[in-house]
Amino acid sequence: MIPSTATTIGRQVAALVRDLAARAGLDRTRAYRLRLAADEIATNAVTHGGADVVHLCGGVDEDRVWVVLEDGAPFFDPRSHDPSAVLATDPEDRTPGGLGLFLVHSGVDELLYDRVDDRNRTTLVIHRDSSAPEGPSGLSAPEGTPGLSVPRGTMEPGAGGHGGAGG
Amino acid sequence: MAFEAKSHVWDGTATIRLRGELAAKSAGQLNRVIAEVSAQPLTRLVLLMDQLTYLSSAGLRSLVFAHQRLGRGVEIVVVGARPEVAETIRLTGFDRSVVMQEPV
Repeated sequence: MIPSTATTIGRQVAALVRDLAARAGLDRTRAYRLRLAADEIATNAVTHGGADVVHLCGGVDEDRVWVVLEDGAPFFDPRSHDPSAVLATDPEDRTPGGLGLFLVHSGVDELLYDRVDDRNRTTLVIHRDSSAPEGPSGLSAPEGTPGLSVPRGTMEPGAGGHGGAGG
Repeated sequence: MAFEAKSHVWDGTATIRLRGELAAKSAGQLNRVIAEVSAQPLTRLVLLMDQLTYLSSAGLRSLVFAHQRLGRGVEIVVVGARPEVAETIRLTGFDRSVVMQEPV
């Protein structure tokens, strides 16, 4: 995994997603959404969770492109937060917070989370075929790509299916 | 890509041209420019976004900051946002509070 700090995380997320998108042939819009979602998770871990370092990796398989982010911040499961609440408030009256998680939920096809060894492991998945059904149904973990870490145990049934909401 | 925000004010309209990537590291820079132009009486804030290539939630929070700093009487106009940036603005409902325009 690639270790990133607050000063490098944005650039490293962008570079990783650019590479994955090129390998998978993702269109510009979906590559942008994946980058945005990964950036939001990483930024959240650093700015709100106080993580010094976020570890990144990603991969491509036949059906999916994924990015895994791990951080040592306190427990934070992005699936447990209702991102739609922020939209109920007029933009002029909003307080900071919530927008990033909304972009995560709406930007990816699957949002997965595990707490592993006191670390948050968030997996963001984009389907290579945009017509593929959303949400896992007995999915197995993405098979490894040489040189890239593989998320283990992050694909539990019912863990995803957040994708596409509002977008 | 580095971020730039250049502003000028004329006849009650502040125009800020955004260039590059507006994210966590650069939002403070835009907020400072917004604070600077808002020191003058304004009726409109125009954000030129045709050269803005990336907008994260930190950048959206700059829109919240602009609203709160300028007040409801000041119209905020977003001009020329690229498709992905425009999608982020629309998805998060900010198109309800700003006017979205194509480039002139």
